[in-house]
Amino acid sequence: MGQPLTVGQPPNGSALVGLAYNSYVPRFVEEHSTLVDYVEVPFELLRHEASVLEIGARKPIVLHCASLSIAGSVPPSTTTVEAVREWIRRTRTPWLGEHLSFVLASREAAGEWAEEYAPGEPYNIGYTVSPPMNEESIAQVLRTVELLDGALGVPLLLENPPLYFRAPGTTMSQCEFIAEICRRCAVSLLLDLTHFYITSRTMGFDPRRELDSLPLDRVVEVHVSGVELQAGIHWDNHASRAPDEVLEMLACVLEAGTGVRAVTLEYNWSSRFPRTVLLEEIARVRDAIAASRSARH
Amino acid sequence: MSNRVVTSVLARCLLDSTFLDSLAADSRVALRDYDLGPDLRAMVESLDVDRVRWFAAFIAKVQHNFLWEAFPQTVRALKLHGIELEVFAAYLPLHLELRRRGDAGKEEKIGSFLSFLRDHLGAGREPASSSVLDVLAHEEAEWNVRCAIAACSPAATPAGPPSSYRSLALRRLVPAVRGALRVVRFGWDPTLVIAGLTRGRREPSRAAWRPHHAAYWGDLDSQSLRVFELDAVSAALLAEVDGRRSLRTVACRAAKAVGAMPAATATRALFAELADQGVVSLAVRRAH
Repeated sequence: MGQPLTVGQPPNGSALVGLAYNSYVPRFVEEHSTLVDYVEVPFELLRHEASVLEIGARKPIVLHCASLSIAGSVPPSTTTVEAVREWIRRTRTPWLGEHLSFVLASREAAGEWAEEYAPGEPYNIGYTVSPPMNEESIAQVLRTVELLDGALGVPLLLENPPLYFRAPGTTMSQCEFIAEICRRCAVSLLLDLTHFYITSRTMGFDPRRELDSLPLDRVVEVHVSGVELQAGIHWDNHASRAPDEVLEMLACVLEAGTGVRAVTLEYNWSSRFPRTVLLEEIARVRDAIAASRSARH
Repeated sequence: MSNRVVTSVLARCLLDSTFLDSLAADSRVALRDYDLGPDLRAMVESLDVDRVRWFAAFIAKVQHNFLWEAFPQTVRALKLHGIELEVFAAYLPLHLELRRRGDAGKEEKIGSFLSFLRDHLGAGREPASSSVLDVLAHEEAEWNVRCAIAACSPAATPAGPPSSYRSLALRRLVPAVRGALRVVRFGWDPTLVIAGLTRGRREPSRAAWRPHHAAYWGDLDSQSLRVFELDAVSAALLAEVDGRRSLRTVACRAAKAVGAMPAATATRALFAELADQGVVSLAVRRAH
């Protein structure tokens, strides 16, 4: 098991650089050990393929999650929360990143027995979805954060989801939604810059200007990945390099957000992601980190 | 409580394409059983159903990221042609049905998607369908053969033709594939199409149009894959080998595919060569 990341600031004061796990990552880490500080691993992957934990022998693991349905009306099962706790313990992750989204939902009008394969079970979308951004969701998130705060044993980071459509019942912008949650509790943030960029395209705002309305001092981890335009909509794409705008936003966040501890490159959708591109992307992120350090000193 | 109903409607939209269709057709009817106040009902009724449908397709696409492992060029081709999301939108009902069943393994999911994709592209709605279909056929043959040899133990039958094969009648020689074999007929040369795709070229060059047949052979002994080109008669002969039919029967069946009976000497020479290469074994059937 590699040394776990500590919760304090890294020794030289600059953010660490990590890779989201894919089957190509162990070999890449072996060949380019000095370029990768940690590996981010999804809880859902570990739950079904425990051997992925072996990467922890080479690099510290940061655990990521998409199962807690923090902004939903249906809480995760006790079994799921227990399993997350267990993997927090086994990975020795310094924090848990989770989406400010819902993945579970009740079967309201479908009737309790309407689903022949999972009678009585809630819907499980299998993918995180942004909730209606309103006071009711804020109250729900605050309750869940409080509940998990004691249960998880490590800090929880809330990750901004990409908005692809406006959920009915929404009364505020995503920045207002996140800022209000942060105002009312001490939770930290995982800022996914690509999600933020996509949201800006869907909702029609200037992402760099809007960044200032987020509580950047709460950002502990940053995600970077690609974007793809299909059917006239910008989509998250972990199989292509990040657009320049995302790297420009990274520079802004690193300069403004003094608590950024880690930048994760999420190029984990394709096992064929080109290694040369990955090396270039790591260099781009490290350059941005170095530039922000120089600017601060 | 309003969020509970709204998230339930959204989840159902993403998991039940019939419901999404009904919402698009008549939102008042689709939502009549939901406990929504008038304001919220109006907001849900004005939901951008098209965007939600694309989002559902996007989720299905992400849940098929495993395709990158064995079908990277097919995925790349769909992306370059700008039809990837449309394909997954069309596949959504089948995908959701498999998800609801809950017990489909990766191989079944791949098989289901490939079968759909062949039909979808085969319907010819896309101008570049035929070259993408040939890339798909190439990667599918490789995948099939690799799966087959990974699941089998090394071949017990010896390589090389029996010493007496020249003097034996075709009806007494029974060929059997050693390992796994797929014979594929191509219009486009998949390697040339793929070379273009990796350079970001959507349309294949004219030189890539090269009708031919190829055999994909998985050698159990070395666990390796070999691809070799065949003429139409050889391809027809090889496609009829099932381990029970004699060379005479194989030739008769192949004749139906190519329109003429393959010459006995050529048939004998082909299978002797294949036996030499280790692709087939030739058993001798006892004379009656």
